[in-house]
Amino acid sequence: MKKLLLFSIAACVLLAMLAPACSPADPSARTKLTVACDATWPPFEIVNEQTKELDGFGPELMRAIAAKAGLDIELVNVGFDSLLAGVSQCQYDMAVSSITITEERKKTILFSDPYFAAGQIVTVRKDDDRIKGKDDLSGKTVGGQIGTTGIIEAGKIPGARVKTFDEVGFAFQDLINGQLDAVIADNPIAAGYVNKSKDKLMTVGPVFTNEYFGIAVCKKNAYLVPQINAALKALKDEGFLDTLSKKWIGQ
Amino acid sequence: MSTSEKPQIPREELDHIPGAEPSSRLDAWWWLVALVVGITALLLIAWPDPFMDIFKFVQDGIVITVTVTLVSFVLVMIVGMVGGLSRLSTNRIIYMISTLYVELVRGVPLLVQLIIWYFAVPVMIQSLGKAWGLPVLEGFQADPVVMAIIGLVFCYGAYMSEIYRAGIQSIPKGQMEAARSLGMTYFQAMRHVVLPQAMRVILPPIGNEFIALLKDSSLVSVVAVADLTRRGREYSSMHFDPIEVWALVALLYLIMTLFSARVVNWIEKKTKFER
Repeated sequence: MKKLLLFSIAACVLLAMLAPACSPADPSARTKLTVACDATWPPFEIVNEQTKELDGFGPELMRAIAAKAGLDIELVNVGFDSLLAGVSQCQYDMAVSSITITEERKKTILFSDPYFAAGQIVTVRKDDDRIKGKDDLSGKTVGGQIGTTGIIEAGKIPGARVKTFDEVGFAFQDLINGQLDAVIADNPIAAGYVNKSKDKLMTVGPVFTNEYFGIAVCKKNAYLVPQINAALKALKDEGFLDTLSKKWIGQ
Repeated sequence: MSTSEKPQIPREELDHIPGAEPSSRLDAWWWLVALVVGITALLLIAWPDPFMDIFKFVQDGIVITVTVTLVSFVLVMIVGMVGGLSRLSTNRIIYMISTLYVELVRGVPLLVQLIIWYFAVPVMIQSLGKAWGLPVLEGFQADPVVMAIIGLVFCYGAYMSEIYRAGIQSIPKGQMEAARSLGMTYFQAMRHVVLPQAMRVILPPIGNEFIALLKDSSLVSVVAVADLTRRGREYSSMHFDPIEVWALVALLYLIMTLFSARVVNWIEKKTKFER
C-alpha cells in the first residue's frame, strides 16, 4: 500500500513536470522570429566585445533585412551543428551564420538568394613547407569546425585524418600548437585568422570551392523567403552589401 | 491446505540455503538493463534507416568512450588512494600539497580543465622548451586522447581522494592501533587491515564516481576526441535528424551506465559481510 502511494506520488510529480513541456506553443503569442547565429566565425558572426551583442557581417545584414521587410527578429547565439539541426527542425525560424547553400542542406532547409560568395582554402603553419595545397593533405591531420563545408571537404580528401572542433578558433589554436597539420575553412575566415597571427599562419593553394552563403529559413516559414529575397535585392541595389564587405572584410 | 501440495520453503530458510542466498540471486534491476537493450535492438532492427546508419557511424565513438573511461578509472583509483592517504598524512608538507590539489582541482569545472590541458598546457611546455633550449619540449605535441585521459584523471583523482579519506576515517582507530601493536608497520596495517575494510565502505561512492566519469567523458569531445557524443554531433550536423541521433546516443549511454551500476551492485553483494 505504501509502495503504491509512493508510486502514485512520483507519477503525479512526473506528469506535472511534463505537462508544460507538452502543451503546444501558442503560435500567435510568438511575435518575434528567432534567428540563430553561431558567433564564433569572425568577421562574419562575432560577439561585440563592448556591447556583448551579436555583430558582424551576418547579424548586421539580418537586422537590415528585418528592418526592410518589417520583421521582428531576435538573434540567438548557438553552436553551428545545433544551429543547422535547429533550423531543419524549425526550432529556430531562421539562421544567418555564413551557411553555404548545399544540395544536402536544401533537402531539409530553405535558403534565401545568396548574399556572399566564398570558398574553402587550406591554412597551415608558416614554417611548414610540406603542404602546398589541398592535394598534399593525404596522410595529414586536418581540422575544422563541426558541420561546416570545410569539414565536409576535408572528409573528401583520401587518407586525411579529420578532427572536428566545436569552434573554428579551437582548430586554428590547435594548428598553431602544432597538433594539427592544416585547417580548412572559408577563405575570409582563414584570412582573418592569418591576419591575426601573421608570424605563425599562412594560407596555401587556391580557393578550391565555389560556395554561396544564404540565409537559412525553416520549412514551416516558406512565406518568409520571398520577403527576405526582396529586401536582400533592395539592399544589394542600394550598395549596402558592398558597404558591409568593406566594413567587415576590408574589400 | 491440502497435503498433496508441496509446502513452500519459507523465505527466511531459503535465504540460508547455499546457492539460493540473496547474494547469489540475480538482482531484479537487471530487467531495466534488458529493457533498454531491447528498445535499442528494436530500433536498430525495425528502423535500420536511420538508426543502423547512426549506429555504424558512432560505433568507433563507443570504443573511444569505453576506453577513455576504463583507463581513466584505473588511474583515478590509484591517484585517489595516494591522494586520500596523503590527506591523512601527519607529514605537514605532504598534507599541504594534497589538500591544495584537492581544493584547487575540485573548484574548477571539468570542461575548463580539459580545455586548459589540451589548448594551454602544450603551449606552456613548448615555450618552456624554447626558453631552456630543449628541442624535445619545444616540439611537444599533445595527443587528444592522452590529454583527455590526463584531464579526467587529474579532476576525478581529487574527488576520489576525498572518498578514500572518508572511507579510511570511517574505520575505527582501534583497528590501526591493534595492527600496529601486533608489530605491523604503518603501511602493512593500511594494506592488510584498514584499506580492505575501507574499500567495502567506499564501494557505493566509487561506483557512483565510475558512472559519473562515464558520463563526463562526453566532455572530452570538446578537445576533438571522437567519442560517442562527438560522433553523434558529427552525424547530426550532416543529416539534421537530432531526435533520432540523440535518442540512440542516450540509449547507448544508458546501456553502459545501467550495466555498470548492476556490476557495482553485484560486487557490493559479493563483498558484503554480516553485521
